[in-house]
Amino acid sequence: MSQDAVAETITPQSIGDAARAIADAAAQRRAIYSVGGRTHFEYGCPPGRPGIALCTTAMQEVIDYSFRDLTITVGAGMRLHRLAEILAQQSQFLPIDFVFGGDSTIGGMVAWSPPGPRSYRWGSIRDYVLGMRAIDGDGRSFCVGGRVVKNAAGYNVTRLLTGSWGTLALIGEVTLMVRPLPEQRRLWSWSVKGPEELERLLSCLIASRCEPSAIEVIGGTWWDREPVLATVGENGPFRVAVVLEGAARELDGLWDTLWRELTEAELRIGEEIPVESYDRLSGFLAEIPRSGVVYELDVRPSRVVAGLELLSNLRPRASYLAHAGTGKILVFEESGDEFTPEVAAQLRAAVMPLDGRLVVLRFPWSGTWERVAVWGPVSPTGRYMQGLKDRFDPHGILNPGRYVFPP
Amino acid sequence: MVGAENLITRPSELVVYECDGYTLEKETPPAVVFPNSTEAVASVVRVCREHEVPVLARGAGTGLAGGATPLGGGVVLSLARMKKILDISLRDRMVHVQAGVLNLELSSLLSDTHWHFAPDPSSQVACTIGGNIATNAGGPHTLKYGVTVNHVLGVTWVAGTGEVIQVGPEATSAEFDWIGLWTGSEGTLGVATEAWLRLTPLPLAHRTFRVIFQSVEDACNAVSRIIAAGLIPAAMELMDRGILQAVEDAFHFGFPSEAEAILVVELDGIPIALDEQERIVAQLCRDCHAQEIVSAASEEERALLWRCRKSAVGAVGRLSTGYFIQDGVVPRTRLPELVRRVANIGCERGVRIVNVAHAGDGNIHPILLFDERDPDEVRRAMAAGRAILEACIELGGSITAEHGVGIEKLPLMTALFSPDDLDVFWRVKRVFDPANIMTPGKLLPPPPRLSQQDEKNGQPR
Ligand SMILES: Cc1cc2nc3c(=O)[nH]c(=O)nc-3n(C[C@H](O)[C@H](O)[C@H](O)COP(=O)(O)OP(=O)(O)OC[C@H]3O[C@@H](n4cnc5c(N)ncnc54)[C@H](O)[C@@H]3O)c2cc1C
Repeated sequence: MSQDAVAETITPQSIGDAARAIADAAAQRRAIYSVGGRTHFEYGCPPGRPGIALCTTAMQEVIDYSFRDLTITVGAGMRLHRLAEILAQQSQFLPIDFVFGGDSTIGGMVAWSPPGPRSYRWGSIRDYVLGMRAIDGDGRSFCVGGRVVKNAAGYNVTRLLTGSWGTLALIGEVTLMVRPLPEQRRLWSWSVKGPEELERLLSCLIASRCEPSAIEVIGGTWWDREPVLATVGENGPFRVAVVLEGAARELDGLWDTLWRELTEAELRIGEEIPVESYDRLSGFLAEIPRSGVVYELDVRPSRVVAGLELLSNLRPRASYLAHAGTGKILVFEESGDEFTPEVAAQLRAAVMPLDGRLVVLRFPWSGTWERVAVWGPVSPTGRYMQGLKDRFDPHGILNPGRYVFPP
Repeated sequence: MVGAENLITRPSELVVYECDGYTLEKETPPAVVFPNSTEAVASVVRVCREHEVPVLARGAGTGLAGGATPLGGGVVLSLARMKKILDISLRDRMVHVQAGVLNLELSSLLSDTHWHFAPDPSSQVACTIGGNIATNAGGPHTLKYGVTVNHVLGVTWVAGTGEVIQVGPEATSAEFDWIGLWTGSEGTLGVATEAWLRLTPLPLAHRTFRVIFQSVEDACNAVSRIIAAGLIPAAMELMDRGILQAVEDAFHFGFPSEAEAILVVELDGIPIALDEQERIVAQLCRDCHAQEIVSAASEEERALLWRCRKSAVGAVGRLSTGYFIQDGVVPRTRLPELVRRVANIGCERGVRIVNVAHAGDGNIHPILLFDERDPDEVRRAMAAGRAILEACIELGGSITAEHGVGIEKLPLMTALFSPDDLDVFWRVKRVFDPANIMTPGKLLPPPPRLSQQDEKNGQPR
């Protein structure tokens, strides 16, 4: 099964249209695949059966922008670069990395909730969705949350839907909490020779009082195309990058603080690198070739170095970006053919002693991958996930096959 | 299951558990159990499920919406004896604790480090981590640091099925955001028995000052302007004249008696940035007719200022024998209007209302005073409380920002949500609590329609 299974595309102009389309599909038991900017359609499992693509990009209006309240309500089909432009006019921003680039839609980001480097300081998109309007698998629309920054009425269904890969409901409209745009961003980088030095540096950075926005460990040949991020030659095998954000004078002060902390810990001082490199880092998923494999390894922050060592032993040709502060390691292998379900199983077994989890986010759909090879063993919460799935999407028409649920 | 020493059934001892901080409705429970492990909690829930006996989780009972009040019988399951600190890992910026640990205990535990657990409800000396999770508690510093859910990395959860589920502390894309869903569920989806909490570095410096205004509205306008100017202070807390009088009686801080409103503003971060921010905040306050701006001169003064704010509610006892604390929230720019309406509602109904507010979040706590012996006064106060929440809804807000729905706000759920929205909540409820034994009759109004499927199998499919 592939992208061809989804030959027909409909583009509803409003939530009402979308609800009717889903109700119709439900009546006929036809599958609906929600798509936004199609920037990460090849992530997750392939469509489980033929169906219709429901494209949200026509639902892209600003419904309400109360910039003095730092909240905005937009259609789920709004592209991230447009959202960023609108917010920038009021010197505001959504503190989320556009990991698939600015063409992704806000709905797509909410549906997956992929963490980026800056989630260390800012949290993930879950922390910014205040409310939403969504449509369940019966075509019924409902509202959850609201437009206030603190809300304890009812269950946090916004959080349930965020990151559920569109399997419970189609997200039609979202209200977001936004933040004042920091004046500046600066980056520093270190090349690090071995795991011990890496561990000392990371410990110091994580204990730092200067609140870095991101603490990244970079490795592998993918990064060689960006000279300041390269890890080959005299450098490496690791490179560490730290991002600080704030007002201009504040940043000087923060860097001074970090400088003192590093000196006290007898660690080298990093060199400042051009701020543009940050876009290469945070947007790398949008650039890598389609033939590749992407997987995430989740460990506690204190086990990141062990995780990376294990990775370099088992997958020496992999490139990665490790969010060292949150413990999420994103791995990329250019040649997808070499990464088989058996390899995934081997890696999964290897990270078990670290309490690590492995999820394969992208793999060539031509291969034969069982669900368990992609998502890992069914967790004890599996039956609760299925219970919710059955109640939100009783006919199983929303994104069948794409996520952990069998199609 | 828990041992006789961990069970009370004597009426004289049970009275303590007849309500929480919301005292207008009470009922003595038949029994209170004090399990001391996750397994014991799970056994209690399983037995109760078998016998269809309601289970009510209870932390410290400081809740203000009746969430921990045992209406309709059932077993009170107290987490008070689950007080172990299981692990502190500063390298992971994380502590692992049992649910009965007190919020403030974390601060003392970490006092010789530069870390803290950011959610700081004013009740933090008494309330538990489990209660904080169950209500998604906030506090003065929520403005910058977020509410409880933003600081929970993992949870051990006993669902209403009696099953133990551990989620986190490692995140994974292969699961729904259970922590997000359970946080704020007020004991109706299960019981938190352990949690992994994220630690936040203490800021390098603070600037804390109190600003005196001639009117509450001016103070609220200042709050709006500060936020609109792109500043997010660590906290912006409001106290009106009524509450100041009580606070002054209790703490003799030296607030001028003619002040109509005081805003406590705290900026934190790196000193070099704070000077500039303080200048801007002061200017914006003056633009809103601030009469006086005084910085805390020392760490002691700052601590006292915070003590005044955090103990403000407790000091209300000096004003009235009976009171109840409302919890409404509106988009922050609507706060001046809400404050006006609260005052009008008080006048119209002859109810004395004093106010504290986490103003930076648009979250106000009007405190309605009454004489408990006068049923008519109680009735009027209740009606006024309801009118305030209706005003919040009208202004685009919500009926609770942090105290939860409990029993007190139940009647307003249908005003805030449509039947379809409420039905969505019920779907969640049935999956985690198929027998409807976890605190039944709280948070959710009765279901509009019971699906036949659920009546039949009573199990998550
Ligand atoms: C003076 C005062 C000031 C306050 N200030 C604030 C404030 O600034 N911010 C704020 O958010 N709140 C505040 N509160 C309200 C209250 O303190 C919080 O809601 C607190 O989180 C409740 O914790 P608790 O341990 O007392 O829980 P309880 O009152 O015992 O229970 C509260 C609810 O949580 C459920 N529950 C308790 N423990 C668990 C568990 N382990 N698992 C599942 N469910 C559980 C109960 O069933 C109940 O529904 C204040 C209260 C008072 C009295």
